[in-house]
Amino acid sequence: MIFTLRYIQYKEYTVPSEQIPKAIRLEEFYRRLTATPPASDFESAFKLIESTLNEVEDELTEIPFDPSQWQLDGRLYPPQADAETALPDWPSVRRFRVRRHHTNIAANGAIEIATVTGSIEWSKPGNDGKGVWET
Amino acid sequence: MNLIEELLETLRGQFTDLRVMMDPPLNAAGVWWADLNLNGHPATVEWRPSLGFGVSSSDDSVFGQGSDEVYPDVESASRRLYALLMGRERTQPPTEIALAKLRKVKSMSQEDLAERLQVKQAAISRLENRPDSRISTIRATIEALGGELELRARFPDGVYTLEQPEIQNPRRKTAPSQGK
Repeated sequence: MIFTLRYIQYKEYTVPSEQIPKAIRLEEFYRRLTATPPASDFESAFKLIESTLNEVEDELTEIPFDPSQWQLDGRLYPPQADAETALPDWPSVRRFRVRRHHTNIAANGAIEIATVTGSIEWSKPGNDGKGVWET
Repeated sequence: MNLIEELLETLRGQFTDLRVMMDPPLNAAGVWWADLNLNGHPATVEWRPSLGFGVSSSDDSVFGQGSDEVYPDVESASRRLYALLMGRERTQPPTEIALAKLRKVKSMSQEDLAERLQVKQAAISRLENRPDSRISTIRATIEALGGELELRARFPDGVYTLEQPEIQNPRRKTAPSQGK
């Protein structure tokens, strides 16, 4: 596979794209999610997470999008539909698993990204102002 | 019992203190997860029924990052998990980089590299686009970029660094044009 190296302006630095660490790309993903207007339902919230993370990875890395296999390529991938897990006590919330995180999305468009041990990394209410667990 | 349940059963038989949290998918054909912890040492198992097992044991994974290692069956995954938990080892995310990209990261043009290797620029171009190359060619190129080539073989029970015999043939300088 042949790659083309791009240089990217990130904050005050001009750096080769593959040198931007995952933690910085994640920070940019959360920054963009925060800046976006809240979602109004589950579908728009799920698409917002998907499109925002894909956009960040397309801009800040050279790694082609290929979620169908093992995702060993170093790219960050949004939750996939086949990784939805059960949340029986919360019928208005759907949960998706990635390696060490759960993404919880409510019917009102509220989003919460938490570690599997329960520590909340990022959250945003839906457009009715209610959080994931207030629905 | 499905394959991840079989894997966890094997590990429970090996470690009586192992704590296991299963995170099954809504649809049984989807992705299954299990979080393991042996006396404070964590490991995460991902099972994709159509692909096999993903295994990770590190604290620094970020949201959206895939598994560090993959194994095709219960036997190889359980051997690796046994070694990780027993030895309190950590996994590392895989890193791959194409030769052309590595050269650019090292701020070297094809012409610069060709000069160092005493070959023509076209030979470097061919090398970077070739799907297969001799180890001696890659080694000479990495050394010309200022690095050192290591060869590692990964097995379910560990990673081995391979010895590289000293190349006697002085053609190392013209290595990128070999195998035309």
